[in-house]
Amino acid sequence: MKKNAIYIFIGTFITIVVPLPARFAYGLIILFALNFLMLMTILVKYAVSYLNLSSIQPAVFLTILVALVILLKQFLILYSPIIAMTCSLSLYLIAFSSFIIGFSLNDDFKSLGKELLHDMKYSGIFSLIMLPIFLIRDILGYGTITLPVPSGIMEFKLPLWTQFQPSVFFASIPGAFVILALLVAVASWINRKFIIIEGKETDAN
Amino acid sequence: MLINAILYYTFLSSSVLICGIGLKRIIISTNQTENQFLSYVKSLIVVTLSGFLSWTIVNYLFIPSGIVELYPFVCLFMVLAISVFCETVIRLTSHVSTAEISLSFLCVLFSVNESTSMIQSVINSSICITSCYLFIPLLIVIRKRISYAEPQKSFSHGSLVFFSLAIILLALLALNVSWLAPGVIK
Repeated sequence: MKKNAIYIFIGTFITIVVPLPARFAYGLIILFALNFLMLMTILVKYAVSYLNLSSIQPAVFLTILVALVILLKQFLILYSPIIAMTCSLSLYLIAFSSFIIGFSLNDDFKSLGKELLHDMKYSGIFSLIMLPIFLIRDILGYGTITLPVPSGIMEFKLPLWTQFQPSVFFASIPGAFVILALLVAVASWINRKFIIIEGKETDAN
Repeated sequence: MLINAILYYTFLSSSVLICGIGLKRIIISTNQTENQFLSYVKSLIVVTLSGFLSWTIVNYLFIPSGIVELYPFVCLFMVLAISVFCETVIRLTSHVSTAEISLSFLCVLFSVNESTSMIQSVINSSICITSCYLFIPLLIVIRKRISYAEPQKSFSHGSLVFFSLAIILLALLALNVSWLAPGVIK
């Protein structure tokens, strides 16, 4: 599951980071959307299981997923049309990402509580990893910290960082790929260390 | 115009590298190279037909009725219907599964979003899916080259692939990336 989770994280990272501007404000919105969609899809999955609709689960699931994204987008338009326009395609991308599809379209449904705990735990961990990445890219790339407001995004300028212009590379898509590559390497290194430690413990026993 | 659109959406503003559509699937596909051509042909038929039908329905039915925000439903139902039909034909004739919905749906959604005419919608959707599948042989070659170099194990889980993708993207957009534009670096 650990290795599979890494691949799901990579897939979702690409889905979130590549099409969106490297702004913390958009990160907040999109991660809220991810958690909202995750929560709703677990409830839909429970309803499908409860109503014994497993044979048509994918079609029902995809239709409700699209409906949820449309609803979410309408609320976003009400809050801020500029943010809604920027995040438009990203909302569908995350709805069809490996996170939502991968975790929610598996056949076995244990219980509502267990599913909520399991899936929301991964979603929460992922959000906690992604938020600092968005923040770092915002600071390095633009020298600002941004927050979502009804008129778009509100910028807090950091004077020290604005002098270091080449770091704007990290706000670009190639920069996002470099960050992802480094994250994958670090995760893989940590994973290997854990495997070695577990191997030693097994030998000692 | 046509050549411009093809070159723009295949390389400069590739749906894979700029929008991230299908990147995850492409990376997975480099490990399973069988039946990729069949999968491509099926996806091409699905997105082209879906793009055409979706754009027509949205333009002549949804926009006059003022319910244009519901257009993703049209895209989804078109993709589902045509995809299931194609999948059934392929399974009956060649006994191979090429089931795939997400990528086709996102390509159709992208093309309907970006297009101002029916022809453009069809071209955009077909270019979008083609650009996705064009990256598979490229990534396979990159993976092979990386494996020849026998990198450290920490870098063997796709890490170097992402570095390579960053370099490819820089090469494609070399004259257009913001940090190379005049006046950015003072």
